[in-house]
Amino acid sequence: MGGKQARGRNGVGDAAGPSERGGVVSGGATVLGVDRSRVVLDPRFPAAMAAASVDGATLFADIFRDGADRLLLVGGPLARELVAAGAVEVADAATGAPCGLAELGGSSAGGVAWEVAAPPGCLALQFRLGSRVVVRPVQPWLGAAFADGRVLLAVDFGCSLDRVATWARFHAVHLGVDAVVVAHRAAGDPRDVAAALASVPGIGLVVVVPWDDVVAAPPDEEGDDADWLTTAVLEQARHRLLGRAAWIAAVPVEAGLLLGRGRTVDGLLAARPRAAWLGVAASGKTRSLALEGDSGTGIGGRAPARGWVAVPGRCPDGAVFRPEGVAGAPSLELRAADAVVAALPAEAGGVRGVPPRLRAALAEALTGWEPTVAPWSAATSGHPDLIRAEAVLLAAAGEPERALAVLHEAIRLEPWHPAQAELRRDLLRDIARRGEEAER
Amino acid sequence: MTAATVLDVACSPLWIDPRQNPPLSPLRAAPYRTREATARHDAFTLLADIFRDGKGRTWAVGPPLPAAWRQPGMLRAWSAATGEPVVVKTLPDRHVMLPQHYRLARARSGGVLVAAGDQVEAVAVQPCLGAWFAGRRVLMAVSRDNRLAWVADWARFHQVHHGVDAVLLFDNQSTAYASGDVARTVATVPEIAVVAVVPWAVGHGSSTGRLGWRRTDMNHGQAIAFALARRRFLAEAEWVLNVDIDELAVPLAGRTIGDVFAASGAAAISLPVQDLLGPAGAMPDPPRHRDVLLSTAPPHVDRPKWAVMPARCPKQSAWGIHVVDNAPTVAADPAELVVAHCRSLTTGWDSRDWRRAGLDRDAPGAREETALGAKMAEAFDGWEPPTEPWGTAATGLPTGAGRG
Repeated sequence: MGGKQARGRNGVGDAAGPSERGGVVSGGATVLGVDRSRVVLDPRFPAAMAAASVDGATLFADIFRDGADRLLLVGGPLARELVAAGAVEVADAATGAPCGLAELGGSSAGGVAWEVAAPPGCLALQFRLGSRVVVRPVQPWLGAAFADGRVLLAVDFGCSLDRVATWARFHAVHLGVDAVVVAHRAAGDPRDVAAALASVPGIGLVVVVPWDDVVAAPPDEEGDDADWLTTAVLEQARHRLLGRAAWIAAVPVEAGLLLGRGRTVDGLLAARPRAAWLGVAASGKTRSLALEGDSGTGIGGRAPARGWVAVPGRCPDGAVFRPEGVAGAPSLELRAADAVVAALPAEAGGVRGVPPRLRAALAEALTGWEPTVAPWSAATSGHPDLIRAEAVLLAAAGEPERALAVLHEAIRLEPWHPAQAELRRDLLRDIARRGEEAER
Repeated sequence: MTAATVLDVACSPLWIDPRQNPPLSPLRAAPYRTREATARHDAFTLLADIFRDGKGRTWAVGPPLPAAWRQPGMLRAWSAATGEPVVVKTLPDRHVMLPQHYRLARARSGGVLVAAGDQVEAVAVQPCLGAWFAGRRVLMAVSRDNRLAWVADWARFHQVHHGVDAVLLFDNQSTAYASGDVARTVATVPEIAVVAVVPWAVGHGSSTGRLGWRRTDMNHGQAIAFALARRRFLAEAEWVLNVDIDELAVPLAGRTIGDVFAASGAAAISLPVQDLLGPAGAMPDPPRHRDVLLSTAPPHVDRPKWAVMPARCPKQSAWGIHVVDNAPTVAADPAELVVAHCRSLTTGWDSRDWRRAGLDRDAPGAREETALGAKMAEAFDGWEPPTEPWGTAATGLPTGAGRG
């Protein structure tokens, strides 16, 4: 936000929560809701090429400004193909003036980001695909909120809330992380994930970017581009959110980045000033992690047991954030004595197979704390109107027993409400009738 | 390949996160709420869209607010680019039941950060699309799960009889097909130049009440859509016709909407609505508008609809569901211009609705409205709309979903 006003470190007005680094704070981080401007293909309006055959397939996953006020797009192989073929016309939505696209990092980097040569102050783009014109606004740059932050970054494929919270807590205590960015690629509500992360003491700012909508072509057709989606996720986070972060630790949600005795991330980076990023290999014989969640994204059920720590300010403009590291940026691989990546136990308290060093670090992080966030539901929300509405919907859906159970909560909160007695009577009658029918 | 340009547009809503904020409680007191109204109340949409108008001003529209959300400071904003505060002006309520308008003053280029209660959201301001509808004769409606054939017939009829050349449809979370199916269907109607189907996630609400209730205070979805349409899409349109998918504005004496506007200086035309029922015999499956031509004697009149010329609308006017508030209005002569409301067509109508409305299709005296039928024949003879959804059936894959 330009630092013009005295705000919390997260730079988000006076809605900031506590953001002390490393200390035991009672939680209550700021959750910043973020959305994306997407352009998807629609076979009902064929673009001038045969590849556009998957309904809802993502052409561009986001349109946004970066810290240098450049207008950027992130997309995948379909975007590269259409742009190269001239099958998509990009223009300023206000004036219709055509805009050129230049691939960031050059095509040799195999990147997923483009810079748009748009007029100054362009607020929205239009994409003409045959007879269809997609108009989308430019999403704002949010890097100021993460300025000088120590950020934890990952893609969530559907981990339990407890596991996500434990992962964040571990890194808040062990690494001194004070902000978390998660790309949500799962079926659940990303706001539940955000709430779980925000409840972790030591975390000041949480962003969960919804990425569950992206439709990628089946992995066996993508070949080398099978992982374009994760690269697009990371590049979007880098350019739109994290360009001014002090450092970024990219660690799978199923894993922990374990520092060697006496090491700190700041110290490791300071000792290697020419490296833009540091690679962290797996501990021992672990080479891959079993991903929790559906992983129905073509990425597969396992991920490399690997992490990295990058300093955005040291990365050249043409570098590309990838799952395995930052392509096109100088790097060093950390020795095991400095840091390793190890699988975190799937269940709280699970210690089987956990290296002793990790076990000790986990114990330190989890002492006096345990995750408490559950998925939100109307029935347990504590809001009588929502609970009553849920009961009515369940009754209409032919689930009188569940409806009655939900309604009892509303009755407990507001015994006097006029509509409840009538609904309860109807539900009891319905249940009795079903019982009689079942007996017959 | 269709001749029409299909606009794929999105909205920037702000939804209440119940983990951080209280939901929107219904405005209507509990004793007057039906069970249906309780279930259909939209408790989470605080702002339906944040957008720019044709003059570059930033607006937001949303439902009227309950007391908890009217406290000072509940809605704040900053420019995402500069961090400077954006002044959120809540426009004065002319009526507590009308959609709420907000003007975000000094929202510079780029998005805004909006703090609603304990929530903070980064929002991209949607662009004005008025240029696409400039000078157009626009047909507008909110629709959910109406058969695609009906949508096509509706567009076709108004194109033939009134020269409509653009369609703005708010698709209210249809589950029978994707919004692309609707757009594709309308785009195949000849002479339609622009089609925009807005994915509309605002709850439609319910217009039913109990205990002698009369006020319309739980069905805001449609009024909010119209408020949005006026500023973001249709400010430069030649005129706009508001009729539902099961309603056809019939020029009985050859007098079109354009004719009425040309003959009067009015900003709006109030169109009388006549209810029609299905055929005397078996209802065809699927029914079409032209199958629904029975009228009771005397004809049953429903609440009016309207057509409006945006350029003639005073600033303080409001586009309601049945009336354009605070705008000079001329009432159309029902002998010349009437909206045929083909009730039997609509999704969800059944005999209880007929009885509730005091209608009976089997009543003696019910007559077939041949004049209306003739006008429908002019539009529909020799015309067969495409009806197949292209999404799931065509590709076997789930249709594209999610936010814009």
